[in-house]
Amino acid sequence: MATFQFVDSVSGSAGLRLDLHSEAGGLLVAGEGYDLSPPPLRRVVDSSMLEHGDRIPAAAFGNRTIRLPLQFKQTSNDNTADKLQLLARELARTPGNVLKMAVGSNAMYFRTLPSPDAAWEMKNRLERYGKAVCEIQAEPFGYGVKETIGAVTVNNDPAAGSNGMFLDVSSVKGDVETPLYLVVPSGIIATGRRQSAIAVRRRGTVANVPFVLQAEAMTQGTDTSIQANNASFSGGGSNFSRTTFSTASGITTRLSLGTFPASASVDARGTYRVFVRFRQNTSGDTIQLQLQWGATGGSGAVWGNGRVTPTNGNTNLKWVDLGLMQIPAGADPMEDGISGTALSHAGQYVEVRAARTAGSGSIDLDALLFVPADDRFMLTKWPASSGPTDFVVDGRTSAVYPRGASGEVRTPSEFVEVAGGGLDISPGVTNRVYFVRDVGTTSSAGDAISGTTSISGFYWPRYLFALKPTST
Amino acid sequence: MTVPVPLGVRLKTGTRDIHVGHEIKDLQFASKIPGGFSTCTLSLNRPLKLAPGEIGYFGSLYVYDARNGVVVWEGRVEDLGRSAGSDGEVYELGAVGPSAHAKDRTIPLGYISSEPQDFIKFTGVNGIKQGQVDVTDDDGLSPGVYLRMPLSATITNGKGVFACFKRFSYNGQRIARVSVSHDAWITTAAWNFGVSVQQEGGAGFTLAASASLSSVSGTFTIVIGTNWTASGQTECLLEHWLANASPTGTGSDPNTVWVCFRDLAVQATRYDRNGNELLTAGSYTANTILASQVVEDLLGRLLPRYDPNTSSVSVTAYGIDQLMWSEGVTADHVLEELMTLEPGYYWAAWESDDQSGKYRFEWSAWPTTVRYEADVTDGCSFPSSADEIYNEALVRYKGGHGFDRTAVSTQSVDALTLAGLTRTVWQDQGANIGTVAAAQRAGSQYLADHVNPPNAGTLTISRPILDLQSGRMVQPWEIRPGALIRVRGVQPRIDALNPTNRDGVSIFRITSVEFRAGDASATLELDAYSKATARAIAKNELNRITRRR
Repeated sequence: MATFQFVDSVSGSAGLRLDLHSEAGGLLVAGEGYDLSPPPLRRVVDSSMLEHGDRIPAAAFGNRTIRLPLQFKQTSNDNTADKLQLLARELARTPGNVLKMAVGSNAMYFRTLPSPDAAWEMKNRLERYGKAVCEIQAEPFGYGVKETIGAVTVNNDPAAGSNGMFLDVSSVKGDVETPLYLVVPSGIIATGRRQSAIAVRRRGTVANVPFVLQAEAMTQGTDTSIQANNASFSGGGSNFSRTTFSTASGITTRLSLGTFPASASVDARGTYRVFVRFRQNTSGDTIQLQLQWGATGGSGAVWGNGRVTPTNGNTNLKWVDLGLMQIPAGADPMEDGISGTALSHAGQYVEVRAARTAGSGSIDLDALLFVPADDRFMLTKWPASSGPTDFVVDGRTSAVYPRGASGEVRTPSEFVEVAGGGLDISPGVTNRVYFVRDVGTTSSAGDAISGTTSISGFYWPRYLFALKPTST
Repeated sequence: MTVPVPLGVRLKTGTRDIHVGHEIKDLQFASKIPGGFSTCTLSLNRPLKLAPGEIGYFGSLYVYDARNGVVVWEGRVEDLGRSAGSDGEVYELGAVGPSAHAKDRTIPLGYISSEPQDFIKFTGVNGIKQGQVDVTDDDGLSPGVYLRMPLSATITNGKGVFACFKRFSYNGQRIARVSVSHDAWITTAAWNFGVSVQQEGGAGFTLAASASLSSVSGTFTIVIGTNWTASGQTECLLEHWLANASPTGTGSDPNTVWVCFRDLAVQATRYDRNGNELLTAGSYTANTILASQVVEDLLGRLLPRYDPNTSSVSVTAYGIDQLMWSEGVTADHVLEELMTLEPGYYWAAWESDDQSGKYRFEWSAWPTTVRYEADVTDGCSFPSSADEIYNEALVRYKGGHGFDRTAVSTQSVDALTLAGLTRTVWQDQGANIGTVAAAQRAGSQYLADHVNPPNAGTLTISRPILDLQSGRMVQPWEIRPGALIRVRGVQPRIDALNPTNRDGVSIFRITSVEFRAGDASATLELDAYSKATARAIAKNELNRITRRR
């Protein structure tokens, strides 16, 4: 028998509030007249006489309306009145209710909105033939029960053999994208308020996305040379570059590469937020860094971002934000005409420029990090004081809240600040979640290549249609 | 899958800091030049009986691009409208961008004066009451101040005639540099003349430069740190006194014993962008000041919310010889005046720095290379009007003697030449310009911007367009004003691919961008503000306000 129940939570162990389809309870969803259609799609339609067809620059689902005709089968009119009152209370519950529905063998949950208006049909034998037709407003998507993402040890070294600054979330259930909730342990807290970057890439073969470019793999520029192995830096062998400014302290190319990524691919396409792992060797020096790029296989820059001055002048290793870069630069057709076949494209020239405007010391450059910034990206500034057990990065509300040992929400020492937007994951693809632990310039702890963060998470699958598959 | 507009909205007050992007409706934000981030409005359903912690006056409002975390708008909440009706209980939030900070304070302020009538007779201890101080505008010479002795007066050594400049003293500002040229009719050691500085009341008096009366013209230039030690000197005096005659020496023929000071340039001290007053001679090396120097001063003096570390000020070249607002002025108005003197520059304030919490400010030249490329497919309106084309400018300015004067500038405009027309624009520079050369320059600058009809139109963008500066395709909400845009779909000029400025046909300046999340599109205003009644009224109001007469 199908299930239609008001329950108290989206959970496999939810408490029953009112059973809408039960012979024993005397209330049944009538055989005809119910409507479980997907939610309507709201579109912005853009058209003009200058081209054929209409464009849809943005679209979003509206609320759905669940139509349930309920048949009363009571022994008396008084019993019908009691049951009707119970129904009315559940329909009017604020701020909303949860409607559990299982037309097949798998339950789905709808977060409903107060909808107390219903059409009531009165017939001769009210207690046997009374019918309430309820049109219940609900959020667009049906939900499955909470799915957990097991803990993954994310290494702070982008060159690590596994999970170097990322974790993959696969086999996501549901019909459509859903907000991701990440759980980050309290070890993320650092004096001076550590700032992290978290991003998502959900298309193509995520393993082929260009992510890290080691400094020692680039052409060494003015006053710059590769240095012997240092465990504080990423990669093996001689693993970082040093710029001494011995002949030129002005803004000059220090590292460059003719083509990055080296091989043509469809997966390198995108916009990236580029970070450089850097340290200055003399505290108090004023350093400027700049990212520029140019033609494939080129030897000079054509485009670039503005100069960046790391404002924390200590000698800690840190990731410094150099701004956005698109691969490929310029107008990208993306597909072969209207065929839908993605066009492969080659990498492009990349260079890092540096200047020392005050001081006398050198700088060390470890690697460039290309964090995807064309899907979902957020910057999070954590509190500075210990106390919470962990933090939940809430993809639905773009908020981060601290929790205690029993999962209770705690008040932090400072508001956790979030820039950007919440994270989403999609079914049917491998979702790569990038976690760059320390990108802020306020943290005095800096960034240690040997660090790890055990990140777990959870989500609720979302569905368009009211029939839930068994395993997805 | 659908594509909701990927923008996040954050409200931050002292009691709450949350993202509300999933709860708001009717989000609109705009940026304009000059100013930068200007306005943002949104509606938020919240119960009126409660006081939501995230909503409060002067709370911060951020709009982020959720794809990459970039701030696309930022400002402070200034308008909190509440309503209850068919839409429920609604808070209508109106926020203003960091440009509003330029209107926060009003102070009396001056930078440089070249006006002789600013020198008034000063008797003090040694000034004789019969002494004469006259402002003059002799033919072929720059306006000046005459100091002369009266007929048959009994004058003792050290007594004389003095004229004092008090404008900076009234403003609470210090003297930094004074430059004057001088001439006299006779040469005699009996009389001296000079320039001094002092505090109001006479303390800190320093005779910084002096000489015996001479018919040979010369120049005095005195500078803080070189000619006097900074100790609060707010006034400067032009002096002419009896130096070496007998104590009972009689007065002289005023027709022969006089000194005239011309080419006056009195400068006040300025601040650097960090708020440090500049008290050394190296900061005052010319008899004029640059607009960029004034901007640096504003950053340090009146604009503490703009970050001196991330701000950029492009150096200008034109030397300004008159800039004074003793009746009170805001930084916004000063910047507006600077843009009339340097119309190739603009100012804007943008996102805050994560560490300092202060906003990035720029004083920049309008670019000469195209940044964006777009077409007209999403809609456009180009109501080009010849009403804005001129080949002659008549500039009114206040001469050194205080009288109104005018100067004429001309340029050749093919369309007007063919039509046999002369069209004159009238400009009022008030007391901000003191010389005919400066007035002609102001007129020429204005004419250069009106050789082609300003577009005064709009362009709608609802799809990604190419940003040539960053090499990226940018979404409508990422487009910034203060750039040139080349528009396809209109007949271009022959040099449209090699522009150095807007051409009014296919290359335009973006003066404002307004994005509406409701239809996911941006409306760009090009070349000038669109001819909306509200804008016209606002501009007239600005012109009405305090331009010195």
